[in-house]
Amino acid sequence: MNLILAIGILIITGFGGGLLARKIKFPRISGYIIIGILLSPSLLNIIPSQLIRGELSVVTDITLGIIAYLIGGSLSLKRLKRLGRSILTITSFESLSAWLFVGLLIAFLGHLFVPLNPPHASYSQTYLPMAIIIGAVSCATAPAATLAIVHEYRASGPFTTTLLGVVALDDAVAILGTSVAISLARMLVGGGSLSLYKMLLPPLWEIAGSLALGVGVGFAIIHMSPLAKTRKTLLALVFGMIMLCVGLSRTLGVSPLLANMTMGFIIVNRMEQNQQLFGVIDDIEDVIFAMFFTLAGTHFDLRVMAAAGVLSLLIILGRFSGKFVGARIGSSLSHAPESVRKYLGFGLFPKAGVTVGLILLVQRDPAFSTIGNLIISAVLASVIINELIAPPLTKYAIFKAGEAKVPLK
Amino acid sequence: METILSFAAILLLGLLAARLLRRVKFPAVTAYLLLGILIGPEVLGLVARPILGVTGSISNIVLSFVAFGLGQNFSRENFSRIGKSVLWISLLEASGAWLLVTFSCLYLLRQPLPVCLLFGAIASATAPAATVMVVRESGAKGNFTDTLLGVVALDDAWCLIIFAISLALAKGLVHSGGESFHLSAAFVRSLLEIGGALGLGTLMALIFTYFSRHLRSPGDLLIYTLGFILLNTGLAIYFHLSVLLASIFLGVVLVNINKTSFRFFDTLRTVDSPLYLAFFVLAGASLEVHVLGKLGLLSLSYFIFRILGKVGGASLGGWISRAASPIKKYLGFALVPQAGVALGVALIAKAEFPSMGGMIFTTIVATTVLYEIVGPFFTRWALRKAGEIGTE
Repeated sequence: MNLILAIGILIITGFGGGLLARKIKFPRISGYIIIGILLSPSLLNIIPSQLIRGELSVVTDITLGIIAYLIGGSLSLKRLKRLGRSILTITSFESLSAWLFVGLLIAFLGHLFVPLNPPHASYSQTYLPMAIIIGAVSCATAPAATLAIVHEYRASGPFTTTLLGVVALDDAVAILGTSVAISLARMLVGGGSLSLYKMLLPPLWEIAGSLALGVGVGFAIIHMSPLAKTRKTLLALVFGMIMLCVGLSRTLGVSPLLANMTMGFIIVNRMEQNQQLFGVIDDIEDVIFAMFFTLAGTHFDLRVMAAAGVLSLLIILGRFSGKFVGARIGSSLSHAPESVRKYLGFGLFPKAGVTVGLILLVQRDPAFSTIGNLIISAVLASVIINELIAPPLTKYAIFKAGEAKVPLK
Repeated sequence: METILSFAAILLLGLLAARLLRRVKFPAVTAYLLLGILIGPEVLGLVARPILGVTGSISNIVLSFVAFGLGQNFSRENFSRIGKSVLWISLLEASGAWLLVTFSCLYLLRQPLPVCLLFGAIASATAPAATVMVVRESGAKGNFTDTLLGVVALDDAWCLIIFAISLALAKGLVHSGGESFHLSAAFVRSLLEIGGALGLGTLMALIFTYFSRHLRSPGDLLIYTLGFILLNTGLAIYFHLSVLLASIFLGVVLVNINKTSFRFFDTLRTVDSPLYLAFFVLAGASLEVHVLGKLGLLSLSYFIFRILGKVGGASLGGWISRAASPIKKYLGFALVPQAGVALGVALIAKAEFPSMGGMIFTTIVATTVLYEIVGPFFTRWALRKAGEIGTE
């Protein structure tokens, strides 16, 4: 199978799946993901795994950059003005309570379902660090799925803005939280001392670096955009800038998502005529979504699902209830609009790329040789199950909040 | 450098280069190619070697977009208007270049016949992507432009046949004996390849039209069109058919069976420019410029006689088919660009004849550098002379 054929199959079959999903009133991305799962090496084995891990992964990296850019672009200060406080409060509560709920569930019930009896290892060296780490990565929400659904139903309003704002912020929280969790867990496993400096400096550097990079590239694009006179050259310019931002983030070791969100944020707030800079991407976003989510589905792996088993269900259960309760508390405390109070929790369930990226940090860490593989399988399996459950719930939340502009047919 | 970063550099610098060189009236294609040469591994080395590895996929994608767009020119209306000219001109300009290059090589340079035959066959190829790009950039419109695009499309089929025949002849001459058998087999094989591409393109166009009633939004239209072109191209590669021809046929059949097919062609044009840019910069980066130092008499005579063959053949074809006077005069000059197709067939020649193929390949690489850079100027000049470029 050559690369072009693989992309062609992904786009066309995914598109068909999207149409079917729309017929039964599901979000299109659900269709894309299910088709992807069917095409995966574990099931029909149509898309070979070396392509998925090789050339096609570049598609994923670029797409995530584009999506982050669009999310940043939807957060104009004008809209954020009254919602800013709510967004901050809700983000703090929903992310921390997701951490807490998942952590507690695994800490108390984990040993009942998953046998893990390495010699000379106590409970506090196995289940406890596992609970802390998995809890921390559960803070993250997937920007891609959220944005795809918001755009599919052309949603806009205070609920949508709050949702996108929370999704954007809690990725930063997740980066910080995961780093803290890994440090804590390493201390538990190895019994070493805890250094505040080592715990906070790398994630803070990552966040600050991403912000700085996004600001820099954002201003660069503002100054360069008069050079691109036609829509076609503008498309090449925006594309080039997004790739520059992604590429530099990876070279510098900072977060491409945060950097691109910042770039979009700078452009939407610091430039008068910014519609064109996002409009050119709107033209092609459907193609990008179709390719991205179908490809995401192909990462499905039966062996991972089998290895993770019940643990992944615990993660999903804990995360759902945590996000839901946290969003309720946060929105009540900050006097958010009623639609936000009632339904925001339902919109925060998607998780994917960020979670996977963060959990891979554990794999590289030699301290977690005994629990690392289990953690990764459990989280990956929960991501896949989650991909199937979350999109319809996000759609439900947007419709209930009354912000969808596309009537149900 | 990192893959994504390299792509970013290609896009951003490409825009910059096109803008700078427009001041000195260079076509964008030439600007992209020169930039590619500059940042390529032989000069600055900004583009990592691994990127050149995906160049194959990118150029296949871009060529299929170009070819699909060319197919649109073969609507029934268009065909009855300029079909006869396109047929005659393409046949005669392709064989004109073939014969002239072969004979000049044989009698002027005293090279062995097999070598000359192969050179001649390679000379028949043109560069659809560069031609289309110049047409688009200049906004040319009219009979001359339509004929040119038709000729560039059909040219690929002739080139395929001519090359197959020449290859078989050359093989027969080198190995001696059984020559006639090889010849007919080669002819049949090239017809099979064209037939296969036709079959694939037609089949895909039928499926395409059948399901197209489910499309609602402009976004749907783009996913669908893009997906089908890539599927078609991927299958062509998989079955070892010509990517160019399969995509042309997809476009040709589509434009003739679907009344609203213009939507599909238009939607593609709104988004393909970054790909074109990347394609030409990468093409420049993969040109082996150092070979220019080896430009000898052979390359020079190939360069000149190919142009003479194209111009003479096109004029003759225009005369036979009673085309308008600008077509007779200038169309051949618009066919000067030569690129990937020529390199592709030269590579086959190299694989088939290890002894003399290397020399052929090097010569073609060197002349391709020349043609790629000079060609777009010729094409634009011809379009302007024909009076089909509006006020610039």
